[in-house]
Amino acid sequence: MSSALSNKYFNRYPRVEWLLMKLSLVYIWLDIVRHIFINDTFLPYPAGLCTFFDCSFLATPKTAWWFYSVAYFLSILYLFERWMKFTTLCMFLLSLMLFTLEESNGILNRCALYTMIFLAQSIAYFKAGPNLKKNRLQFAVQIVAAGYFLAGTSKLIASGPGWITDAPYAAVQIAKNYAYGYFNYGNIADMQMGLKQANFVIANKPFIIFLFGMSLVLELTAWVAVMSKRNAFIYGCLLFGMHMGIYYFMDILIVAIYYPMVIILINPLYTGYFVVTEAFYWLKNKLENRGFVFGF
Amino acid sequence: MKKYFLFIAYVFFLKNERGEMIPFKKYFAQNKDAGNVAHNFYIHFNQHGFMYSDGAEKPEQLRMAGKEMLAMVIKDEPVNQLDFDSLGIYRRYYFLENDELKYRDDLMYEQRIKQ
Repeated sequence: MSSALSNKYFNRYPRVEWLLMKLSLVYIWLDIVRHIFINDTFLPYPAGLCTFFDCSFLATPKTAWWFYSVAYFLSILYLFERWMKFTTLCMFLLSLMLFTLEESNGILNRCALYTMIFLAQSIAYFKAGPNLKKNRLQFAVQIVAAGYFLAGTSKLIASGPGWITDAPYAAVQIAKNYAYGYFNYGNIADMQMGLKQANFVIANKPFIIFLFGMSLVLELTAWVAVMSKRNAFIYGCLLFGMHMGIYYFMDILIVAIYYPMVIILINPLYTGYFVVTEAFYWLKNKLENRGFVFGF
Repeated sequence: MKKYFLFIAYVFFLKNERGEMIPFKKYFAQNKDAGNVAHNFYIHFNQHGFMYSDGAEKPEQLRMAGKEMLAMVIKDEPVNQLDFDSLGIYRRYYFLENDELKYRDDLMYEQRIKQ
């Protein structure tokens, strides 16, 4: 039965799965867009597109609300599957522009993954054909896997094996991250928590070296996720564990990377929907076999 | 000097003329927090081609960066309504020494903020 269940989950691309993925993606996307408009109200360090032309108009409250309305409108089109080539392409371009605004405030390389997911979906729609249902999911999986693989290779290029052997220096990063909380809000408990976590790392060096090593292996082998839907799900769970570990120890959770990964590889809304409906039909069959009659 | 993520453990904070720490989010706009100020530091150093890591930056480089960072913090803020007259921006540098977590605070720049 478990094999039949997993075949049903991993070998199909039902519409409800696509719909729930889109719903999750736009919910988080709109929240990030809103966050950027609230926080990035000027462009101190023009980056990317903003080095070619003056895009300070993006950072004014009036245009911010106009762009936010456009983002909402595109999200509705996206959810209702209207003009998808145009819609996904516009979402990509809007993302690119807004996330450039964030990069122009010195916050680098955070939202690239989200932007590229819309481009990947746009390519799937332009390509169309009989594989569209698979491609619009699979292309996004490829983007996520590529993002993590690049993260792993850049660590190796920047620091070589030092990334693993120097892992105990995570203690200073932990102290730093918790200190942010103290210097932002003045709550001394943040500082104490940082000291506690940092001392745990110093006292358990082999464990931290092991965790850093495993995380690097996970990132460098993320391409395995593109080979099948089952692999994508398994890798999604492993990467989820990695992010939770980083969050617990270091107080770091980069929303614009973590959420698209979870949505694309695990799709929690659909997984939940699948588990509940399968459990319901399993129970219904059991009861019917015992003579219960349902009116639906 | 090792220049990668693990070794760059800097936090930036503010103190008034009485030496009291001024929490960013209690006094200034939401987008002017310790994280954003830190991003400004790295961008400033990258733009000027200065090296940064291991607390080895030159005092003049810190002063230049601090002046720019502090200007961004007080930009468009009603500074005359604050209950202090001057602000200093500090860089806290965390490091490990003999398996012990230590830190050093350096004043980057300070100025009178009230007109």
